[in-house]
Amino acid sequence: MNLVRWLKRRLRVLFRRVDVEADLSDEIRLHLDMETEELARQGRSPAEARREARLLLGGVEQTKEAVRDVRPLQWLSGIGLDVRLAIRMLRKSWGLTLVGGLAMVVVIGLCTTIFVLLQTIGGSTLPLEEGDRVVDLNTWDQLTRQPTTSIRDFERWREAMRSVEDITTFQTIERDLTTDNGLTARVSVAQMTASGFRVARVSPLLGRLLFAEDERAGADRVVVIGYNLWQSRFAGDSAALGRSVRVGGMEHVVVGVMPKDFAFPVNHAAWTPFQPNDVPLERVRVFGRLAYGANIETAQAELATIGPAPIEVHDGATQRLLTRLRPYAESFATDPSAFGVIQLLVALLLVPPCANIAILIYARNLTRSEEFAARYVLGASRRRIVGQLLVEASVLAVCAGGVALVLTHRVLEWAQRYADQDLELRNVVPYWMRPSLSFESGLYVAGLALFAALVAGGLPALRATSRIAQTGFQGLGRRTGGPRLSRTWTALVVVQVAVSMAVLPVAADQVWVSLKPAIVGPGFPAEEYLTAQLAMDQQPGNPSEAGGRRRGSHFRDLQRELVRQLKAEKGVFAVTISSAIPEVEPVSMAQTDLAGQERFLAASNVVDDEFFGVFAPRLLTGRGFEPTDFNPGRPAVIINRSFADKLIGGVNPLGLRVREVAAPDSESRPWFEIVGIVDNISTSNLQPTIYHPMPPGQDRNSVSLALRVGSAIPLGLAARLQQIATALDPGLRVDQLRSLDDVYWEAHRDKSIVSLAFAIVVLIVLLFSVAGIYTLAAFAVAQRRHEIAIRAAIGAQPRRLVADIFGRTLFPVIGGAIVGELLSIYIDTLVETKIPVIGLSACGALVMAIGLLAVAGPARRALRIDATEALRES
Amino acid sequence: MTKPTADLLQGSLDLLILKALTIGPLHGWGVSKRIRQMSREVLEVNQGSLYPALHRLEDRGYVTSDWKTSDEGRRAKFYRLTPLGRKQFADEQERWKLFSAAVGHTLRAGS
Repeated sequence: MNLVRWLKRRLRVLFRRVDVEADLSDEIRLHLDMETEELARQGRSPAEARREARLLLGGVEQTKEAVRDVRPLQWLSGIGLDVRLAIRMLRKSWGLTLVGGLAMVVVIGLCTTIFVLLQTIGGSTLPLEEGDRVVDLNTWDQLTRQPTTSIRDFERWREAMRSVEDITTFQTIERDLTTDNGLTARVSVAQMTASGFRVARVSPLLGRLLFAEDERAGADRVVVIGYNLWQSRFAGDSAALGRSVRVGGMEHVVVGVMPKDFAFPVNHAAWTPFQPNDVPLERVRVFGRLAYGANIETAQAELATIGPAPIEVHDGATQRLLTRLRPYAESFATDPSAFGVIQLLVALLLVPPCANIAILIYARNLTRSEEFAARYVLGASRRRIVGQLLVEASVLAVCAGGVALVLTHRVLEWAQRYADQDLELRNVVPYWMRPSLSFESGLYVAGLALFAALVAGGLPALRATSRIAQTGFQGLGRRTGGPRLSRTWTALVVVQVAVSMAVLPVAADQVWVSLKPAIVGPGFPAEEYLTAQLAMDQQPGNPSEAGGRRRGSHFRDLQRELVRQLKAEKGVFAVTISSAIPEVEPVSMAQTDLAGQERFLAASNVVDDEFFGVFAPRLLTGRGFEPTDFNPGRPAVIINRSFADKLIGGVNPLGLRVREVAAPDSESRPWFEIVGIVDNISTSNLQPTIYHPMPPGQDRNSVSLALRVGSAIPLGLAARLQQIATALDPGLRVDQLRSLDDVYWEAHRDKSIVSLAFAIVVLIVLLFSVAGIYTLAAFAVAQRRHEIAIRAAIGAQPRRLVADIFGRTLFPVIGGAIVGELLSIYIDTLVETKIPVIGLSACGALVMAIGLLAVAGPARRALRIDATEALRES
Repeated sequence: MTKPTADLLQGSLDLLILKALTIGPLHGWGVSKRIRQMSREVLEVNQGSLYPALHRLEDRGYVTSDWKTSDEGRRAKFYRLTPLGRKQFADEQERWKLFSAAVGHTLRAGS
């Protein structure tokens, strides 16, 4: 067969349909004319000849339809017609389209986002030459299930291993990088041994890489910077080499620039030589490249033989340590074997909204039973009718899928921007993991849309057309009885209402609790406070316990002097030091010695003697910290109001003892005595909090600094703060200087986003309930149209009419609402949200009010039924 | 003798159309007339089945069509056999001979 002719014919059928139909009409017309003339020549009159010619042809339209059925791609034109009809139906039932479409968009978007993230995590490969031969080595603590690789492990393996070469260690540090023109950027720096660049096998764009000599004590401080940093801070100038920058307050010389898209080993913007004495003994990362001829298995066996560096044995510690070796990229990924199950479970999220849409579509299909009967009589098969209904659901699902894809793309873009700006995330998520939509994502969305169409459209279509073969002609003109909604569907609507009533109060409370800090604010003028992190760079020396105490004492001295000088600055009203920024403290389990009191989560903050003066929470009872409380070993603590509210029986907390419970060795943690209770610093954050006095000389790596500066932040204060700190000690770093308002906004941003998403899901559930109630009410009116007409004609009161109509129909719905209300009380007790009774009642009243609104439309239609018209139809 | 009904001819319609076109290009009405003539007025093609068959044969590449002016001066769609169609006709003709011989043998058997 001529391929060109074959293709040309199909293209003509697809895109020149009008011409094709015109040709067919001409052909049939010619045939009729020729046959008529032939019959006329045989002696018939023109009219008789024409009539007989038509009879011989067997019907013009039927002939044309038979020709269309054998045309190529006819099924496409059938679908095209179905799609046009579907769009018309979706526009007509805009309520169903809106509710159903919104639900599908949210769920398909969520499923797709999770799919892309799983694909990124599980399928990423290290983008280096023979990247699959770069391996991660670590020591694994079986008890804590955490890596505990130390410098000693690194030194041992570097010395002993043969199957892995260029063994490298690195530590990620966050530092302010300041160029000589005063521009500062907070960057993630890799303190790495020079062998790391040999593992990467990437040449610098400019200058050189780090050398082993750069790691010697006393060597000049050098830094290699990344491409983005080079562009943003040096405008891509090749003269950047040799220029001096300050990294964490210390002068470094730029010796190299790495090429674009290089951020190995994780997501680093700069690289400095590894200094063993700068880092703690624990928690470094080690990697290397498999030697020529070696593979993962031989390397794993060798590492297992060599083992971790010996440590002091107590409580069987060495027995619980194992060595692990695996591909470097895998060390950032989750086990992909579980992804299939996760994706399946996530895809099942589609079932509830699609089942709800199925109810609404089924209800709508029942009102079209006459249409289906007529089409069946005219020759359409049940398969054809079901196919058209399936196309209707598919159009909705495909449109929802398209919108979901766009939304997912936006969400991923936003997430990527957020991750790029968040240093903590950048230190965890490697640079080669960039979630983005792919061809597989598109196929996944298409699959979800098809699944959604089958559930939401296919099932109701089969159900609505199930008796079409029996009803046939009887389905036409049937006016008595009206459509019926079966008990199964009614029960589903009732369950939907009960579920909505049950979860709404707790969901609303949780959303409000999460969003309240972002909406209402902290309840005090956070914008009048500046915060910063103070830290001390480790100096070369013996990292022993005694050395730690000396460092801690020196650090505390520096803090005191810094506070004294800052207080003298114009515009600074008060300064305080604490272990964490108020209201964003770390949280752990707290235990009291109150009989019967269960443990609960509480924040903890170690504060200086100025803290309560700076933030001024009201002292509710007991006392504040006294000077003697700040001596080492003193057991006094102060709690806030939320902590006191957690105690059972309304007991006076003064004199009770409390301690933190965090690890298996919690029995050795000391008890502290509660000596005072203060009000919550933030009125919108109800986190229970324990305040400890900060003893002098406590060995801490960093502390938080808070300054009260009033409504206008003094100009140049940030630079002045840096100057004072550097002048006191070049190793004293001031990082993350920002307003307390910004800190709170960032802290609540993630929770707010999750809460908003949760609120949208709850709203959709509520919308489906309302739609279900509307459907039931609409069916009640349709089913009893004849009865309504008669009763209205003989003078029934409209109010009585409506009450009778809806009473029986909505009675089970009201029952479902009551059950839902009781369930909400039970759930509130279970999760201890302690929603006031008035709150529960308000949610119940809200749902009932929305339900009544849903009934209003059908009720109005019932009162407007024309009795004459309705009786004539019967 | 009763004329064979269209139903009996259903399976052989394609063969008859291809045969009609072996003589030369024809429009649809011409094909039905030629079949009637070649069968000595015995075979009456169901005209409602003719055009679907013609279009089906065209889609399979056995015939091709062009719009031309007929002898009567009318614009008509003429069908003609393609080389593939000639080959198909030869194959179908062969199959029909085997079929009709087998039917004949069956009817004569045991008599």
